[in-house]
Amino acid sequence: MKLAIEDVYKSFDPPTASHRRFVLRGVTLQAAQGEFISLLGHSGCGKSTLLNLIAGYIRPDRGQILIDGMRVDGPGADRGVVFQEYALFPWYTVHENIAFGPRVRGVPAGAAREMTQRYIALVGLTGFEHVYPDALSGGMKQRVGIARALANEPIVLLMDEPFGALDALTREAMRQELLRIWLQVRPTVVFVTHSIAEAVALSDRIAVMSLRGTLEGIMPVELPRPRDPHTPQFLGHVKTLEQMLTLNGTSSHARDPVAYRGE
Amino acid sequence: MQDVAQVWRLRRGQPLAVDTTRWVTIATFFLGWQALAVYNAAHQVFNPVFLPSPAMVLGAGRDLLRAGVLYLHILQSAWRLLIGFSLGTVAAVLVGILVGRSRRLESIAAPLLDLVGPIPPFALLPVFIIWFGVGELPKLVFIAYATFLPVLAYTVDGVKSVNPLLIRSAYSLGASEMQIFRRVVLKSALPNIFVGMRVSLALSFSALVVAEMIGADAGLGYLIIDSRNFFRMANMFLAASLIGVEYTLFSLLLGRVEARLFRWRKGGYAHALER
Ligand SMILES: Nc1ncnc2c1ncn2[C@@H]1O[C@H](COP(=O)(O)OP(=O)(O)O)[C@@H](O)[C@H]1O
Ligand SMILES: [Mg+2]
Repeated sequence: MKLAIEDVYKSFDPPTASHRRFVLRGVTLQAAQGEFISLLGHSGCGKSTLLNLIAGYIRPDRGQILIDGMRVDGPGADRGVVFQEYALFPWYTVHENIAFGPRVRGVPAGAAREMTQRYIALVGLTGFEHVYPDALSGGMKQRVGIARALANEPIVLLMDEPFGALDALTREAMRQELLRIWLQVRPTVVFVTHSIAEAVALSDRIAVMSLRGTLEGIMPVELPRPRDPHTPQFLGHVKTLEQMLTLNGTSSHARDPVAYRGE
Repeated sequence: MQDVAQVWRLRRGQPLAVDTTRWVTIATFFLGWQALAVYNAAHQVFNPVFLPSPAMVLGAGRDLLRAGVLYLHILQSAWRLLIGFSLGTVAAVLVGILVGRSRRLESIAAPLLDLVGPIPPFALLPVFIIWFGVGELPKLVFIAYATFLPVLAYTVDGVKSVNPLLIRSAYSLGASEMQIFRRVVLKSALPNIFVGMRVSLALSFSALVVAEMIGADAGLGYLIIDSRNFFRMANMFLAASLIGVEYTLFSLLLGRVEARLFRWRKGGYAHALER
């Protein structure tokens, strides 16, 4: 397994608190080499928390996360991250942003330039190498974000609602772009979204998260890509997921700390 | 500043009018001054020695130039300012980054700054002279000190306001602490640091003049005091004007460096609307 999440618990309350509210409670999930996994769930169910745990920005209270069998202990270049807010370095050009990873890891300038150029071409930004991020549209910014993460050739690519800030048309276009890039490079992807259609269109498997902080279930999507969202099979998946999420949504009061008292 | 002037100009739809007004104002100022001085010299409204004419100031400049000492004063002041200002800035940026990164250090530094911050640097010049002697050192340390505090405050502020997402993404791209410091924290705080430098530049110039007025044997501040001793009013005006010119040049230079460094930065009022 490229990625293994083993019985992970996470609370943001201090360990000394008399009553800790757990955002994640016993999450277990694996991803195989080259697999595209989505984390789907209502806003506030802990998708970003789980992704930040994998990225190493925060630490689990219990359980562990393994990358290629190595326990995650802080952030590292083996896990590339793409943020909803892009998080590009505004003082670097497109080229310099994408070259950041190779450069800080000590790849010689010539080789880094060649790599960078390759990823710029991959995401379709040729001609924009020397533009600063401020001058780019949202969709183009996220292309830079994806290229920057991929240029490090990470074992796992983590994406937290990467298209969440984009308008519907751009979002659809970027979805197809991501699919094309993924099919070409074949990284292992963990993709956070709250859009059911997006998850079905992209994923090999969809992990549905509940507002109780557990995994509601994992749904494989075995449709050939590209997937037509109007086919009955696609719509069937959407419907099943909708039901899983609705059932889940009605029990949201379970998050109220009072409800944990009996445990 | 220039942007504001430009926007104002464009808003009023008078792209040339203001530029003309500017030069007319300046010319009128000097002509008026010349006329006043000439009239006063003829009619003795007050002692003409008190107010030399612009022509006399220029004449004084020519005389000092011929005597070969004017360059010396100009360069001496420029050099002192450059060294003192640079020392103060570098020290403030280094300390500011350390303090801005660590909450512990900040809680130690903050009360210290509150303690010494309200003391005008000029009040401490005699102390510096006693500590560091009468040579070049106390002057440079004094100018550096006047530069230090504002740059420090702005640096700390800049470091503290670095977008944490950028730090996260740098870590995930494999950057080390040192690389994050150089490529993210410093880069992000740099615009703030430059605001601090701008604020400090005026203070450093004041410090320069005061330091040169007390126990120096060259420099524009010295020229003012030396001229006063011999009651050469024209030389005093000359030295004061040259200090203004030097300040303007340093300020322009700083602006140039900024424009070069912050090409990535746009925004502000001037960029809100295309006209
Ligand atoms: N740093 C934090 N401190 C305290 N609570 C947090 C923090 N981050 C997230 N939470 C809480 O954890 C829950 C899950 O948040 P998040 O993982 O961002 O959800 P999602 O990404 O699924 O919308 C939310 O209730 C949120 O308020
Ligand atoms: Mg989120």
